Amino acid sequence: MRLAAVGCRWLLGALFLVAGCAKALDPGGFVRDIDGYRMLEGPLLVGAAFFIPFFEVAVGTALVLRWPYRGAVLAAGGMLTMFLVALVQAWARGLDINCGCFGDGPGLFGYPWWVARDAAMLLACAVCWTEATKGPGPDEGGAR
Amino acid sequence: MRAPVRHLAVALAGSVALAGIAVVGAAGSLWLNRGLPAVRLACADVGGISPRDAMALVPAGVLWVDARLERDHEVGHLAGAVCVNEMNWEAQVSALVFAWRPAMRVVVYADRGDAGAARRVAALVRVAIGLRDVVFLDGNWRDLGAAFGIDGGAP
Repeated sequence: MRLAAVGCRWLLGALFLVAGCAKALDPGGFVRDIDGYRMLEGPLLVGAAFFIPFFEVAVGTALVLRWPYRGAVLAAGGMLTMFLVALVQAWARGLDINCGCFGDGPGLFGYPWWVARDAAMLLACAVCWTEATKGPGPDEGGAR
Repeated sequence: MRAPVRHLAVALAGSVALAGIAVVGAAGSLWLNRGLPAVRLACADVGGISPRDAMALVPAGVLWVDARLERDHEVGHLAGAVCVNEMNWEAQVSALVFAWRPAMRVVVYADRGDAGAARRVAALVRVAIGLRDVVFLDGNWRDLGAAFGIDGGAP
C-alpha cells in the first residue's frame, strides 16, 4: 500500500506540474479552452484561467515535496472532481471542446479518454489520502 | 480533536495556503498578460438574446452575422446573414463592415449548443471593430428562419 501511495504521489505531482506549467505558459489558449466549456464568463473566466495553472503548479510541487501533503492531496482531489464535472457537463451538452488539460494541444482521444484519465487520477488521490491519514503526516511533524 | 476531523482541518489549512500562493502567481501573470486579446475578448461585455427578443429588434434594423464555418453557412443561413467566424476573421470581417449601417444592431448566431462561438465573434466585433450594439443569439437560429427565410438550400 505504501509503495502504491508513493507511486501515485509522484505520478500525480508530475502530472500536475506538467499540466500547470503548460497552461501557465499559454494563458490566452487556456482562456479559450475554458470558454469552450460554457461554464464561466467574463472576469470569472479570466480569473479561473489564470488561477488554475498556478494552483496546479503549487499542488504538484507540494505533492512531490510531500509538504503540505494532506492539503495538496485534498486540493488535487477537489480540482480533479471539478474537472470531471466540467467534462461530463460539456459531454452531456455535446460541446465541441479542447479539454485544455495539458495546454493547447490537439484533443486526440476525446471525452471517454479525458474522463477515464481524470477518474484514474482521482483514484490515485484516494490512495494518497488513505496513506496520508494514517497517523500524523509530515505536515504535522510526522515522518516524511 | 478526533483524528478524521484533525486530518481534514490540517488538509484544509494546507489547501488554503497553496491557493494563496497560486493567487499571488495568478495575479502576477494576469498583470503581465492583461493586454492579451483572449483576455480582452473574455472580458468584453456582450449580452445574449433569445430568438423572440431578436425578432423585436428587426424594425430598427438588424445585421445577422453567421459565426459558423463557411461550409455550414453555405448549407443554410438566415437570409442576408454575413458569414464571419473566428477561423477566417481577417478575411471575412470586411464583408461585415460593408454590410453594416448606422443604427443597425448586430446579432451573431452559431449552431444551437455553440453559443460560445457566437459570443466570441460578438466580442471580436465589439473589441476589434468597436461596434457597440452587438449581441449574440442564445437559442436556435432556425427559430428565426420562418420569419426571415433561410438561404442556401437548407430545409
